[in-house]
Amino acid sequence: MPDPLASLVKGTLDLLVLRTLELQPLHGAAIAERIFQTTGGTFQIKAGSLFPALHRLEQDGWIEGRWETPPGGRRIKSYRLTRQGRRHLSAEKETWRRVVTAMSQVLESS
Amino acid sequence: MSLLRTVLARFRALRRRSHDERDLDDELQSYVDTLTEQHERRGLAPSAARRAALVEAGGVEQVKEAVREIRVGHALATAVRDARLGGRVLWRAPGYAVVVILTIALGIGLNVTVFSVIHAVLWQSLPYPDAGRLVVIEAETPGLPSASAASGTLFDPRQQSRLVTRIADVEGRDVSIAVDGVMERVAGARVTDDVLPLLGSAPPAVGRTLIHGQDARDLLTTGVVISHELWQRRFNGDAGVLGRHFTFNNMDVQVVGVTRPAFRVYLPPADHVEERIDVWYPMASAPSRLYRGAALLGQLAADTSVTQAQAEYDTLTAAFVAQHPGVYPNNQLRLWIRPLGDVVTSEVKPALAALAVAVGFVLLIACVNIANLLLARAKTRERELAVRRALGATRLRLVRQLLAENLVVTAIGGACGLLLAYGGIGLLDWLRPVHLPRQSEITIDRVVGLWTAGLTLACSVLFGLVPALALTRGAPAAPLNSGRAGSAMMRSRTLQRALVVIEVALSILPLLAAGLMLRTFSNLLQAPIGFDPAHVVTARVSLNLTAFRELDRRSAFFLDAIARVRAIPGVDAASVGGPLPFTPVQTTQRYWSADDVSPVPSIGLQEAVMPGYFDVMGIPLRAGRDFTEDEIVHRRPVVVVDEWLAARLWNGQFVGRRLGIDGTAKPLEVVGVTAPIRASRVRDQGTPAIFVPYHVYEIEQTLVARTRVPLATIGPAIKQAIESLGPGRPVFDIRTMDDIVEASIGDTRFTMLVLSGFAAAALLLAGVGLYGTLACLISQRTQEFGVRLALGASIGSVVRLVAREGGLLTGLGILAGLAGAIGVMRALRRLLYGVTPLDGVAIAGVVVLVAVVAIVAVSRPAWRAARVDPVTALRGDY
Repeated sequence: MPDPLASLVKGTLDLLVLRTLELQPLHGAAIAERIFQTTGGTFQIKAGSLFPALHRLEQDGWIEGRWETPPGGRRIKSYRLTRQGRRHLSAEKETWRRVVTAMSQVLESS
Repeated sequence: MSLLRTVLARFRALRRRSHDERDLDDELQSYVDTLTEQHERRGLAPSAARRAALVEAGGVEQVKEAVREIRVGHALATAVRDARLGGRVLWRAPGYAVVVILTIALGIGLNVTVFSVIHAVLWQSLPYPDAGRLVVIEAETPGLPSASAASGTLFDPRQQSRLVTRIADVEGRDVSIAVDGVMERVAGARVTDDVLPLLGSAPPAVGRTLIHGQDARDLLTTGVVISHELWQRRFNGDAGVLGRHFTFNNMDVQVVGVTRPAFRVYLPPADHVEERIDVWYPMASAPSRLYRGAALLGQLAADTSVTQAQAEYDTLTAAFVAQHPGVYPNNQLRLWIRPLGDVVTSEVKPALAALAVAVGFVLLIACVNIANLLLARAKTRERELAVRRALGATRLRLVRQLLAENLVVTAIGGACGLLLAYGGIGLLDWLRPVHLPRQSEITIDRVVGLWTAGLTLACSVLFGLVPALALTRGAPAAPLNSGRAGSAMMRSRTLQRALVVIEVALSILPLLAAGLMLRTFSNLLQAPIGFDPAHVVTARVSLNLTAFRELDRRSAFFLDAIARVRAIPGVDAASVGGPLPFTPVQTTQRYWSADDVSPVPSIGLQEAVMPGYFDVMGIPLRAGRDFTEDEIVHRRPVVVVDEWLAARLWNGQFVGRRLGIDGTAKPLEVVGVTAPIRASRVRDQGTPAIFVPYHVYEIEQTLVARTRVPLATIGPAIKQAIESLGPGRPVFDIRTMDDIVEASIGDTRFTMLVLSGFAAAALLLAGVGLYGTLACLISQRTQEFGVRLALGASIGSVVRLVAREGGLLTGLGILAGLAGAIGVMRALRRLLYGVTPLDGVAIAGVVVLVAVVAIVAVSRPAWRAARVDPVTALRGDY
């Protein structure tokens, strides 16, 4: 299956990640897993897309990574949404909704 | 693009070792682990699960690379954004930007100029093959330090030394040439055969170098090597130039070689060799080279150090002196071997070092000034920065942003500074320091460019970091709570005051250095040189030796010429003599008392003169009389010496004593004693003077005339009066004696002028800083003044408050500066004359000057404080 994200706008992955983190802080693999589950397997995000996106979002200040060491385990970097990221996300959601509505109108018009 | 890629690669290389890289490893590792666990849970064997996980991850290294690129790209993007924001901020405050840019441009421009000079003059090795092996051999014997190493009856190291393989002798002279009947004076050099090969001009571009046996016959020159420039200019680059004849110093010579284009030589100042020599002509390695103060060139054997060669020479000289007692004064002789590069620059090194330090201080002041300006702008910026912090910008981000802002102005300032440096180097040509070697090589090249960039960057961090840290310190919300100066403002006020004190302190050193040089220069102008150069016009006369073959005819010519010049209206007195005091090439002479049974020779400077010379030059006769025409005509063995020489040899009665000198069979009878004369250096007594009549020692003569008529009028008149007597007696190089004396202290004048320029820049910057800071502090305290005035304080008390603050800051600055400067001034000692590094007049002058500038700087802010309207001040949100 070709990666559907490849053909989508770059912001989509960011939006997916931000939305996923809005609910709870997660580490990289868990983020991919959660997106895989919630989209019913449509978006299977590869590490090659995921980690650059995570680091980009971190540098933009939308999300922030935190190192945690669970008892007996190795250290894990989990990400959570920042205040700025939350604001950014709600703005992006609004934009997305408008895009989707507009796109649907175009595609479904008879 | 390749540059960008290099930069990126560098970034990556940095990152690879960094903390981030370990984190990235861990992060990806845990990702792969998690995937593996998932696969295992779905029933795969551990190894299969891991393989599947790795496949799914899609190559860990590629992922890492993608992440790294994101990070680097992000850093670059932030930098660009910072710079753009910085540009916008500045665009909104053009006045501030202009002041900062000008300040930086001044600081950087002066520094780059001085750096490019030091780079070319001191740091680049001389452009000779094996320059490291070239040395200078100087003889030191009582009464004549840095003299020539001589041969003949004197110690000749040429024969015995094994460690100094080649010894060459060179002497600069200006010479006359006539090609196709058109005459001109050009720079020439008398050289032994080894000189051109040693300096890397063998083989020359055309022909061969000089061979003494072929190019000179007795004292006549028959072959010369000419410069590429002269070949182009006077021979039109004629390919068949070899063997062409022309007239050189009234001799018929032929061209045997042409040097390569742009061949320049840099030799010890004592050799008086111009950087561009047009004619190279042979010098015999004649015995007794004692009559000059020049230095010999030598080439060390391969793998020999200067110390080893020095040790060998010490042994050789000691052996010679032991075998030949009485040749050297008190049997003392030391031959010094020094690297050529050191000798060429030794005279300018202390001055350049002083300039470098002074100019560094100017730059520091500029930086402090800008730091202060940045703090002063805090009033407007503080709230903006607080808002941005409240909105989530980190402190690091803000500091970086402030630094980027600075970098934008500094970069513009640095670029302007570079332009200024171009101008500065042009100005250097105009100031024309007399002995600045390698001046033609001073350019703005890549090294200088890189240095400028580095300096600019360093400055921007230096003046940007302190204010940036001060501004972003403390709780972000604090400034927002207060309508007026917040706590950060209070702190920045203290910082501002401290910076002003530093600034004033920093300006003291260049000012004091300039003050000391000024005193030195004025002392030099008033130094007791033993004659009065005012109103003396000089003109050199070159007699054609073939036309005036006999000594009597030459003497008669000069006596006639004197009479004719004396007859020119406006001329009070005239005579001839040579070499004149302070002209580059002086004659040294060995002398002794012929009255002594076993005389001890010493060395003096000798001048050959005609009657009336002492009168024209304003040399007072302390005893006895001048020469007479009769003595010249009848070639009487007479001599005049200066008081210093006489007192060294004899007690009491000087006139009538007998003086022995080299080159005369009979001793000379002392007929007159003059005041002590300084002829080689204004600075020190140097060497005693011997005046012999023209017939005793014939040398090219210079006509001297005492007149109040301006040079422009009298010059041509003198030229005409002598040249009209017939051909073969050209008159040239007409200048005033004042000019000659001043040229000899041109280096001091140069150092003084440049240092004064730097000091003025320092003072200006410090003054601007003081004014700016006080104005800012006062505008911050407008409300306080309003309250004071409203509560009944008099205007006078408010003005006093401001004045006291200004006075206190200046006073502290002066004290701190003096304390620091006095410690450093000792290093200037070599440059000074007649003043100590702690000269009271200079210190007082500096204090008064700074005080005056402070008063000017304080007066306007004080006036503004006094004019505060209490009502407006209390109502307004200042």
